[in-house]
Amino acid sequence: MQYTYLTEDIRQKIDKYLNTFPVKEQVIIQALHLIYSKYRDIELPHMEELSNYIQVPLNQIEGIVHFYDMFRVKRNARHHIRVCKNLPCHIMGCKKLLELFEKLTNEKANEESKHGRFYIETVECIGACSVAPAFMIDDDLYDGTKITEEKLNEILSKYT
Amino acid sequence: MEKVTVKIDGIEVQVDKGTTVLEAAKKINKLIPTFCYHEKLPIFGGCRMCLVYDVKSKRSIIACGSYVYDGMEIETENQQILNDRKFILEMLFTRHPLDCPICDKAGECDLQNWGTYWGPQNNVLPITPFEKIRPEDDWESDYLEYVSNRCVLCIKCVSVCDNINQSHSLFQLERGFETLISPVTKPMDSSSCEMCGLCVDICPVGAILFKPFKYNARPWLLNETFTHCSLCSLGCPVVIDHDGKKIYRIRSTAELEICAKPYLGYDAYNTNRLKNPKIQGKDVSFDNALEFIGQIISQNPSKTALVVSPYLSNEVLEKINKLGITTTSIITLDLLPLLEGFGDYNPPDFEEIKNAEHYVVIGDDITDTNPVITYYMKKRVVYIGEQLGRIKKLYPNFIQAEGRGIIEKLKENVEEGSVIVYSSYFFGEDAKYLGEVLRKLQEEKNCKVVIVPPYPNGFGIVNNLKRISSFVKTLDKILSGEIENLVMFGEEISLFVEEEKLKEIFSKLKNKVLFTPFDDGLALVCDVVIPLNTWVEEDGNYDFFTGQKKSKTSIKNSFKNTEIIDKILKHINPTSNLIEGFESDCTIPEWINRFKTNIWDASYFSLRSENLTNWKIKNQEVLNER
Ligand code: SF4
Ligand code: SF4
Ligand code: SF4
Ligand code: FES
Ligand code: FES
Repeated sequence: MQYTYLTEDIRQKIDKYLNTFPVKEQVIIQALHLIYSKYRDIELPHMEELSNYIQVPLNQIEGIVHFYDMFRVKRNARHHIRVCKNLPCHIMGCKKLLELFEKLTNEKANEESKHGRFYIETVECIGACSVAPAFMIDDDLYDGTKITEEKLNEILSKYT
Repeated sequence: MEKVTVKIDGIEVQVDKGTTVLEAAKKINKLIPTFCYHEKLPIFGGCRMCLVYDVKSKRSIIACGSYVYDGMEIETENQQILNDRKFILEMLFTRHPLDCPICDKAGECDLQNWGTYWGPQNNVLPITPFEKIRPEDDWESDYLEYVSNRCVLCIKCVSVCDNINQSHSLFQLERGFETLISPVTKPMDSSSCEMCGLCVDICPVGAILFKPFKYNARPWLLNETFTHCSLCSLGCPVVIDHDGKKIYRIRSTAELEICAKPYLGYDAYNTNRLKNPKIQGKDVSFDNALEFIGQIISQNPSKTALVVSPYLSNEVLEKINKLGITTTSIITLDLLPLLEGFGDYNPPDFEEIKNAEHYVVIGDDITDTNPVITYYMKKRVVYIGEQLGRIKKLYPNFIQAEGRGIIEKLKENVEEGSVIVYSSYFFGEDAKYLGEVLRKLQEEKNCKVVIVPPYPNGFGIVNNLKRISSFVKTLDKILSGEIENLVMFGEEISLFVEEEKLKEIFSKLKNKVLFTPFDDGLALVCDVVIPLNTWVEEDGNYDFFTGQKKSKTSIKNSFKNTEIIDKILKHINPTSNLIEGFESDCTIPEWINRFKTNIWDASYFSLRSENLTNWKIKNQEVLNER
């Protein structure tokens, strides 16, 4: 098979994982991270290539991608905003934060992006309860404690 | 095996250590409700429907996933358990539309049954069938449909596809409460799904439906016939649901052994059936037609030949044997030379095959020819053949080879004690050579040799007929004028002989007599046609790979194949001076079509199935792409 998405560098890293882990299913998540950080989306062709490369059924990989909020299948956006919706963040007002995001980006949370710039998603705990309501944009974690509309606008402007 | 004694509802039972509470309870016929449990699947323990009370530890435990210990005391119906059951059903009901009146599963639905026995009998948070609380997932299939609201998330469908069929065609979309079941790629009909229907059969509720069955019948109004599928040499146990006139579906038993050939292909038995005998296209009575055939045969027995089909039962073959005329079959092209090379073949025990460690599959893809055997191949697999098709689901070590190259590669790759699985591919001389090699490997390397022809009763022909003449020579005799009358059972001749040649052969014949289930195809070009019952319409034993098994009558016709032949026998004087013995074909002429079995095109039955044909069109690319 010719690999279009699993580029040489990704394959090399996957090979390393394959050598480290006793069970090849353990490589799936690591490999998905590699794919995700390169393409910002995980699409069927990515998963098909991975399935073929590590010889693990496609349904297992799809199951994992859909299980974890950290991997998202194609939502047609350049940037991915994740707003935590679990208890601590809920108490600290993640709802308001979410509304603010929706207003500023003109997108609806958990719906495919209309403008192609931001995709907003509500997620389970991202392990940053101390800065609740916590949110992430792509790989950057933000402190939501003292967020204002103005500040948020400034942050968003960094992501074009 | 160490034994332990447990007490279930006051009844003592001795079971092997390592038995689950559920299995122990089954031994004393205690019904414990379950959703996610199936005896042939790994324990999941996700639905909690099977809670029972462990008296010693004073708590409820799941019966399906807890193992017995000596002195264990279980109560399956105390007040606490009844409350637990009610609570669990209540929770399921809050998100279930309870739309039994329009649900196909009603009558055979676990949720309906358990709800009736132990449920709350009222709906706490009613949602109506019209309120979708969960998103739909369109499987984009002509055959399978998913109704998300009805799903109780037992995950048995995914499990059966992963662990039994092993094509891994379903997965869980999202998680927790929002889980949906989805095919691995869409449209589903062009995915890796093999349309075995096991996910439909195993779903405890009406969340996966078989579309051709949808809204067509209520299961309790249908008759069910437990029988054996006679579409290949495995003879899987299946159930036919019918109303005495028409088949509504063919489904699996608890053995979970079924493939698309019966699951989708059942429609072939309902369409275009030949009802009356015909002479030159005109309806005639059975008596007239059979007398006519009797005349043809007795006037010139030595100028008459018979072609039998490996889809006939032993009973019919035995009678045909009595006719005492030259008899041939397509098995002289492939199976007979193979067995000749092998010498005295006794199929190994199927249990041993299921538990083997190493399989070598050679020739045609057995996922096409005998799909169910792949359900048991869970260890290392080597596949030696022309190209890697559906069998790739087993992640075999693929060795590309052609013709006799396959046999040479087999010799190199076989291990001590390997199970060698072969269905079809080789003809004539090559088949004979393969037989010799297989024999040697059995003796020298202790290999188990599995010969599973793509047709059901090839072994039956060998076991029941005393004389089998070469197929090629018989046809040659027609061309040379030595044989003038040909009596054919089934349509194999049109699959194995090239069209132009067949036309030539037919043009030389004085009388073409055909016994066929169908009112089309060859029936249109034969002089005399007589209806034939299939495995669905007449009891019959078949010598399957797994031993002799019976297919039972589902739909009763006014005639019987065996009686028809009896009647012919009355009109002739069987004075056979033919020599007994088998004559296989070593040289295969050009005009023999090396018919290759596919999951959709396996026989003259499946070629007539609209379901299979439609699926084939959609599914064909898959094999090339993935
Ligand atoms: S029909 Fe069979 S192969 Fe297809 S998804 Fe269902 S269980 Fe899997
Ligand atoms: S579709 Fe049926 S078998 Fe699959 S998880 Fe839902 S209820 Fe269980
Ligand atoms: S594997 Fe063979 S016997 Fe079993 S269901 Fe399929 S066609 Fe019928
Ligand atoms: S609950 Fe929001 S980050 Fe942990
Ligand atoms: S049947 Fe035991 S937990 Fe589902």
